[in-house]
Order: sequence, then C-alpha cells, then structure tokens
Amino acid sequence: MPLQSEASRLLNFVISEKTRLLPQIRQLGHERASAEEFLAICEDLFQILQDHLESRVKEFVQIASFQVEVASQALDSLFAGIETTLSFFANVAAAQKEIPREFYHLVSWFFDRCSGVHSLPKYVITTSSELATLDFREFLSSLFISQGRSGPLNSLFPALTNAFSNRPFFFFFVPGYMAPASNSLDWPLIFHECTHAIEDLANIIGPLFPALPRSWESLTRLAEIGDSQAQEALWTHELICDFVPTLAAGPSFVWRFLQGYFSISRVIHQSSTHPPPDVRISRSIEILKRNGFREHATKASLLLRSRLRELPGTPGKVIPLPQFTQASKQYESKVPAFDIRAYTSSLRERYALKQDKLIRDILDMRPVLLDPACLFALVAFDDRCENAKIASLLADYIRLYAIESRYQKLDLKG
Amino acid sequence: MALQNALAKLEEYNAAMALPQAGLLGIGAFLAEPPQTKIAGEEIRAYLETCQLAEEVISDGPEVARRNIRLYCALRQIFPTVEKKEEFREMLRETREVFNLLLKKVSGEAVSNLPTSSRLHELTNQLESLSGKIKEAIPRDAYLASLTGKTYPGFGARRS
Repeated sequence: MPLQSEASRLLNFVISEKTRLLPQIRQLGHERASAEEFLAICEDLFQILQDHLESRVKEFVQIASFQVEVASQALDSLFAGIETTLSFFANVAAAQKEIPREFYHLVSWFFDRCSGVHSLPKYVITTSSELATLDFREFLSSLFISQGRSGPLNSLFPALTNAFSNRPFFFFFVPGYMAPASNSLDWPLIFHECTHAIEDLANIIGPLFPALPRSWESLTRLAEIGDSQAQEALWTHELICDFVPTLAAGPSFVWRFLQGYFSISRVIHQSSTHPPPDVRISRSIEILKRNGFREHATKASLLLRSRLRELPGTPGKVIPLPQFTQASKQYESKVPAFDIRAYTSSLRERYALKQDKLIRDILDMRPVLLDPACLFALVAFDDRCENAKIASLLADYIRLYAIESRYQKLDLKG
Repeated sequence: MALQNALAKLEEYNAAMALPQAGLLGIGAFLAEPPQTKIAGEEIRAYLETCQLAEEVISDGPEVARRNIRLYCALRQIFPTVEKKEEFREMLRETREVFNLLLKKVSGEAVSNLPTSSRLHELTNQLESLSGKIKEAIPRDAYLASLTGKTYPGFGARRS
C-alpha cells in the first residue's frame, strides 16, 4: 500500500521521541515548579499524539489510493509539523537551566498586578535572540492549519489543533544574555511581552479596530503593504504594552528601555510595527510624571535628550492615536497604578527610611524586602547600581519577596 | 520578530498550497475507481473558493489583502512580475471552468461537455507545476528549521 513506510516512520518517530523527551521534561517539572505548566502542555501533546495520530495517518494513506502526491505532501507536512513542535519543546526544556526562578517570580508578580484585566496566563520563559511572545495556539495554527481552506485538509491534524484551540499558553522569549540573575536589571523589559499576552487574552484593543484581523502578525503584514489602519492598530498595541508596565511597575521599564534597547538607528529608520523609540519613551515619561515620579521622569528625559543629541528635531513627536486613549483608559481602570504615593508609603511602612538610606543599604549588600516595583524604582537611574553584583542582589530580593508573599498567601506566621 | 516571521512564512506556504492540493485531490477523487464522489465534491468546492479568492487577491490592490493576508503575500512572492501574474490569472480562469463542470457532474447534474481524462491529466500537471513553484518560492523547511534553531539540511536530507 502506498505511503505505508512513510506512515510507519512518523509513528515510530513519535514513539521514540516520547521515550526520549518526555522523561526529561517530567524531570524538569519535578525539579522546578516554574516548569509545571509547560510539563502539563507536553503531557497533553504526547497524549493526543498517542490517541489520534495513527487514525489521522490512516486517513492520509486512504487519500493516497487516489492521489498519492497530495497524500505524501500532507503526510510530510504533518511529520514536519510534529517534528518541529517536539524539537521546539526540547529547546524550551533545555533552556530552563538558563532561566533563574526569580525571573519567573518577577513575571508572576507582574501578572498578579494585572489580574484585574485577566487571570494569570500560563506561560514559560525561554531564550532566543530577541524579546518576543508566542501563543502556542498561534504556533500550532501556523504549522498545521491552512487559513481560508475548506475541506478535510484544512487542518493537518484536527485532534491536535482543536485540543489546544481554547487553551492559551505563552512562550516568552528573552535574549540569552538577559536571562542570568546578573542581568536582572533588564528583566522589567519582559513586562512589555507580558502585556502582549494579557492583551491577547483580554482583547481590549481588538474591538477598537473591528475591520482588522486580531493577529499581530497579520497586522504586521498589512502595515508593510501600506494599510495605515493596521499600522495604527499595531502602534496602539505596542504603546499599550509600554503603558501597562509603566503604570503597574513604575520607572523600571523606561529605565531599561533607555539603557538596554534604545538605538538612534531605530529613531531614524522607522519600523511599520513599532513606534520610534523616542516616541515610546517620551510617552512613558509622561506617565511617570502623571504618577508623581517626577525625579525619575527628569532623569529619563535627560538621558533621552543625551541619547538624541546628534539628531535634529524634537524628540518624542506627538502621534495621534485616538484608540490608544480609549484602550489605556480601560487598562487604567483595571490595573492599580504604582504611583509615588504607593512607592513612598511602601518604603515608610517597611523601613521608616528614606530612599537614599535604602539605596545605601543595597550598595552595602544588606537584605531589603520590598515588592519588585519598589525595588526597581529604588535602583532606577542610579549609576551606582548599574552592575552585575547589584543585579544579582536584586534577584535575591525578588526571591525573598516571593517567599514572603507565599507565606502570606498560605497565611503562615513566623 | 524572526520567529514570528518564520511562522508567517509557513502560513503563507500553507495558504498558497491549499489551491493546488484541493485541485489535485478533487481531480484524483473524481477519476478514482470507483469515484470518491463525496471527497471530490468537497475538494472541488474548496478549490473553487480558493480560486476565487486567489483571483481577487492577485488582481486587486492592498485593499483586498485584509481578506486573506497570507494568500496575498504568498501570491506576490510566487508571481512577482506582471507577466507571471497574468499567466497565473489565466490558469485560474481555465481551471475554474473545468472545475465548475466537474462540480456539476458530482452534484448529479447532466453535463454535456465533460472534460476528457486527458484534459484532466493536463490540469493535474498544471497544478503539480504550481505546487512546485510554491515550494521553490517559499522554502518551507528553511523556515521550519529556523523555528528550532537547526541548520537547514537542504532538500531531501531531512529525516532520510
């Protein structure tokens, strides 16, 4: 029978990968609580492959009785999709040793701050060459679904794509250099990615652009071919993903954006997907000012101005994005603002100390127990804190705070 | 962005490949002994729908892109010049006429000018050639490899 050997090769591949890969990921799940959700996705994926792959493959073999080329192509695409998915999972599992658990604590803390918008998303952090977010549903759809096609081959593997269609799971990619605790100062940049995930789930911006597709990638392609509304939607997305981190976590995001991601080239060569960095930073500075972080805002403005010194024109020119105002109001009503009052009262309640004294404590490597927004606000724009030692210490403080929060949640005393 | 770009390219590949695949399956099921009428009907309909969309997308400007941005991008990549676009449009027109007749036949209507089997084989060759052009224009395996950080092993080397 045609395709029988191709079919057997696929089935044998899955059996051998289950034996090889699943135990490794199970081990990871036992060692690290942060990998539990990722493990659950892997378990379900292998279960679906075990329960449904053989029957799907048989359907392709039947097609081969009257159209062998298309059946072989479909089988090859199915094989390629499964192989890529498992290989991708293996990479994510291997990357876990590079991701400190404190990084997970920080991300979970941020999601908790935004829980008024949507409940905590399921996610895993992994490494890549760039900061990016990917929903597993989007990954599966790209690999297994032919958009716009009707008929039985619309999905190469409906049992798989349907099983995850209502189950968002996010992969957050961070550059490898950013992952270690010694680079924790850059970790707040991930809040932008977290907000993409929240927006994906809450869909606050989508209804403001009813004529457009929701997918960020589709909007990107449309913007590239000159669809100005798609570009407006994309820029609204991006500015919201700067706005929420600044609203919820204070000065840390704009600080690290300026220090770690700003480039003159991006100001000159505008991208269709992202507003120019000077515009993004200027808007974040305005939010800081509004929330009372005047000192931080002044330092950020000075830093931005010094970065743009070589450029003609005024930085941060105004771009009218009316839908941004609507979306930001909705977020503002659901995310508690971390403003100067919240900041100073936290410092007072905990330590009855002024900011300068606490920074000295940090520089002297004394333990400081504060929530991450306060910790980062303390060290933000302070050149003395721009080093790996302080960054590692900050990661320790994040862990301390996570332990304390867990204690409080469990209502433990002592 | 690299990851999202690779995924977008895979979607473009799948969107474009849907056209020859549906056509080939439709003809295959129609010519099968005994004919696979149900599958033939489903796939011929799928072909005609995709064919209509492709005609719109290849003929009109960016305003139609919102209907299926993947197919829009894919077709512009596969048929980059005015001449190639025109050839493709011609192929779509010809095949649509034949597939409409086949659909009538599988729906149980009387069809006097049913295409001969040699015409259907000729059509099969055209669709296979389209499939080849798609593979050439959008190197699927290279994009798959970039998703997992592997080196692209080249044509035919994978899993052999």
